[in-house]
Amino acid sequence: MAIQSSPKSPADRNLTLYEAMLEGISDLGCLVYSKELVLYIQARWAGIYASVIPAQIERLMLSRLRKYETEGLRAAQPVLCPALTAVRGEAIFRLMARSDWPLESRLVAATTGRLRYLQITARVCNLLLNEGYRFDNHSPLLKLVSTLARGLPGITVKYEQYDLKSWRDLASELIITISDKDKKIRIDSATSLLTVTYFNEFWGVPEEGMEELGV
Amino acid sequence: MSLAGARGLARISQNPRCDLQTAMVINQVNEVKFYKALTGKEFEGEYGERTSARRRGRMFETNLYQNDAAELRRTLGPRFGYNPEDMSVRNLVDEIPDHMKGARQRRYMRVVQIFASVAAGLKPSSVPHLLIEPQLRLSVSDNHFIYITPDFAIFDPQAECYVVGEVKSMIVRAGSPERADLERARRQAGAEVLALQLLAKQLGIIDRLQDRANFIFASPFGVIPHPPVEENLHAEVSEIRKALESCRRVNSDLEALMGQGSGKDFVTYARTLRFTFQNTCMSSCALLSYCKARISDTTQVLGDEATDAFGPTTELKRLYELMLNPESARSAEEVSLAARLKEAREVLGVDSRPVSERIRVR
Repeated sequence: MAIQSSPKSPADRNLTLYEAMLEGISDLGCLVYSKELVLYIQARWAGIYASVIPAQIERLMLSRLRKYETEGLRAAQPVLCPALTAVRGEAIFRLMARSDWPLESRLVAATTGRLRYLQITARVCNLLLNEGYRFDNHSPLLKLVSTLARGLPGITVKYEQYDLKSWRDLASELIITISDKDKKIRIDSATSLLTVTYFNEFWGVPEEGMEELGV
Repeated sequence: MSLAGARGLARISQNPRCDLQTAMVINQVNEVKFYKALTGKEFEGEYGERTSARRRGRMFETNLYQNDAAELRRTLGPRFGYNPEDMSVRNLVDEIPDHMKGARQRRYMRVVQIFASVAAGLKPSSVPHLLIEPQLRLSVSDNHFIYITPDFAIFDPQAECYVVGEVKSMIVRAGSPERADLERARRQAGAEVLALQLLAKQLGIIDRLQDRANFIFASPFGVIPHPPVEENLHAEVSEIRKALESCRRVNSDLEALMGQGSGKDFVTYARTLRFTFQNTCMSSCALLSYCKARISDTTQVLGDEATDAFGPTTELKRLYELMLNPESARSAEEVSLAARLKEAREVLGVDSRPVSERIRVR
């Protein structure tokens, strides 16, 4: 499969890892697991970040979030933060979001796992079909998309065969069947969580808070 | 073989009278380093799983857990009456990765929350269908726990409680894996069932649990899973319960000994602990040569059957004397032994004359 890359701009070459993470999550447009984000970063900025690993970006997210929190999170720039479970607001530290997304977009309800998986599958297929020129090295992204496609119902993925259009179309059809229901659940959960005393919008409910609540 | 978690308890259950092994599990020692500390020599034997087996195991698990555990949902869902596409999943390791401080304790608290929701009869949104690597624990003392991590737990709507499960990449042919492999897996799962029972008891829902677990093995075709196998584990749960009692006893003894402030370390006390050498040690314990050297002149070194027949402390030299000269028996027990040895000589055609008498020099 021939996908053209374009040369990197000076701004791209000077990108810090954290900026690359923020940019990557924005581009993917949904909650992203660290292992998925790593493959995106390796693909997009292969010249600079070819060997970044998930634990590295997880630790970076945590350290920056703590730093911004002590300095006051009302800073203009958004930060990365963990997704939260919809029922109790518990942080999911490998699943990343941006702090400038509304709370309901950072929650994971019972149906969100499935929806998120379909969204990222459709998005990665789309990137490879229409925006491949933005990536230095397509191999990590192809690896990601073939892993994701294995989760689609009725799909058999063959080695190095990428049926991107049909995978994207199938994922998009399935998204339509669950997105409204999932959105409603998350909006209700967000409203409920904001009334919980110990709830922090970015860290969720701390385990210490749970102990004090008699859990 | 590992000493951590359920595997450690499974090892103790196979040899509950070996206080040395129990102490190693309680203190979570690195076996190879402990061997060196105990003997002063490097461990030269084979230890642990082959790299290829570990790699295969990881690939098999990754295949099951990726994409919101799609393959695991497809494998397990129909057995429990679920549409796999409608199942909700929580992966506790994704929620709190291992590199985070206090990860296991924090994961355990989340599992307690989920089980509290089960006990309270809360609606399904609070109770995921599938948990990946839920954290459980068993207490050895008030402040000492053995953390147990089943590979998964699936909510059984009939029983209204979770059933634990193990993922094993061993290949199943003709419907069943190799017996030795299955025995280890069953004991591990027994520890997980016991830990689940402990939590359920604390929340008042113990009556919903049975001594059972689900196993996902591999088919002969790459990393594709075999249909799940459910096993009843009454015997294994009972043996693990005894193993846990051994842990508590040995822990209490060690705390009493080491708490006396003598300043000696665990290795020093380990040398004084009772050990029991048996056949299973040969395939599981790094201290095999250490223990074997200490009983090399007794019947234990000949294996479990000889130990059962002649007693664990009978010296080989004395057995040989009784075999050659039954009249030298000094007790009723030795008289009985001598008679059996004489019978064995006759059956086996053993010539007990010295070699010099047996060789004819031309």
